[in-house]
Amino acid sequence: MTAQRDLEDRLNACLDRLQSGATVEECLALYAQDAAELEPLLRTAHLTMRATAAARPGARAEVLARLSGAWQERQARRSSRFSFLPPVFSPALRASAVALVAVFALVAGGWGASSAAAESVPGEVLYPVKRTHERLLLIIVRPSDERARLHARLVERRGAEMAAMADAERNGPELEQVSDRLESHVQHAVVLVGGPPRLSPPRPPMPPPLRTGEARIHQELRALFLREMLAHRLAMQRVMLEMQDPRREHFQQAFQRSELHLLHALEILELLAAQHTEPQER
Amino acid sequence: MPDVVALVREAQKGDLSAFAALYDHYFERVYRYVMARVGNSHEAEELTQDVFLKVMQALPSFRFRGPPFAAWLFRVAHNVVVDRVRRRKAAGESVPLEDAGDIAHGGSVEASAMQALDIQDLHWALERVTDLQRQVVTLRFIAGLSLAETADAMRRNENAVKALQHSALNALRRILVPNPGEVKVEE
Repeated sequence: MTAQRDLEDRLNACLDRLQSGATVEECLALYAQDAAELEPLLRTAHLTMRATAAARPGARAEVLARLSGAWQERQARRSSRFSFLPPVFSPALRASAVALVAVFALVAGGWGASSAAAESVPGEVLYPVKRTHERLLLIIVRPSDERARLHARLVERRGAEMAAMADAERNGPELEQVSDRLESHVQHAVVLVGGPPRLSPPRPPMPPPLRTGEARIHQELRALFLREMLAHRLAMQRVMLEMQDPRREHFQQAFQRSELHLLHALEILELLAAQHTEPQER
Repeated sequence: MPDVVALVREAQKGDLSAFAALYDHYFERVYRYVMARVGNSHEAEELTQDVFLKVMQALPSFRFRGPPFAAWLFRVAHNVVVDRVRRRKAAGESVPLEDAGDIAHGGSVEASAMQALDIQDLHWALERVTDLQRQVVTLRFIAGLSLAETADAMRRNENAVKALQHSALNALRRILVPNPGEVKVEE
């Protein structure tokens, strides 16, 4: 009975080690006297621990998006249960209800959705919902290429917000924030595909050598950023033609700052793509 | 490794980002656990969502004086899976396995399977051990819980879990390698 219990203790100690990354051999070396009994059990345990079960790509994000809808709904219900004022007088409940509708719309429509929240700009009631959804996606999207794509899509979003703010002639501290966020997304996207940690002048040093298989993501990001730069130019042309100073100057500065950042990113991506293709051309 | 206790406290206050971080931390383990129990990726995804929905609903009642959060989470996962299996049996449905490979069709595992095992193959093997052995294997080796967490999740003491994991590994070994002496196992 005691011998059996001792073996179970040793097996358990080995299993803890396997869970921490030790090999079967390392565990057996510690308990050489029991190796004959432990080895087949540890190999079976090791095999079981390594059994592969990858979820469908995108499953993690989709499930979380559905859960976030349920979360908002739940929060709205809890708020209403404790509210003594009619909903129309309760900003928290009103925001929750709006958020609920918006989250469902975003989930149902995805990135391309023309939902109210997706089109909201800073200062509007749905804008925090849009940002929360983006932050959730940034938490759960893991592979670096996917994260880079996500940041690039967020660059587009911020650019669209700047253009919408220009159309509505809404300048103010929010314009700077959007511009800062655009730059941050550009920076993150470039770093995730092997670029340097700082894009802005002084000119960045040459990036380190690349892993293989990255040419496609560099081209993809370049195309996205180029398109965004053209959109920026068009928006700035409208600002120059239709807006009066001092508002015009404010927008012009914001657009120019973002465009400069996009230009730096394009240069870096070009360098990275060239490093990748050079060996094949020789 | 996130601070699970802090995240649970924030999520209990209604912070969606904290809940998302908890979800992110446990998603893979819950999915693997459910997949090993049901053997079907579509159903596993659906049940994984159900697990987190139930966790979301029950989170306000979670108390830190009770079992650790991971053990509590996998109790929820266990209940969700058991409910589904019961309903499936009551409806007379068979288990929908997908692409389980030679192992599910042949009923035995060749030496090559000892070098790599798909979770669906494991599901097939787990169907052939006792319920308690299945629980200990999925919690301890698939979900990656510690001995103490596994004991809490199964509502058993640690010595009982040690004995169970010993017998479960022996049983699995016999199923996976019918003639162990003939098999050269590689690391």
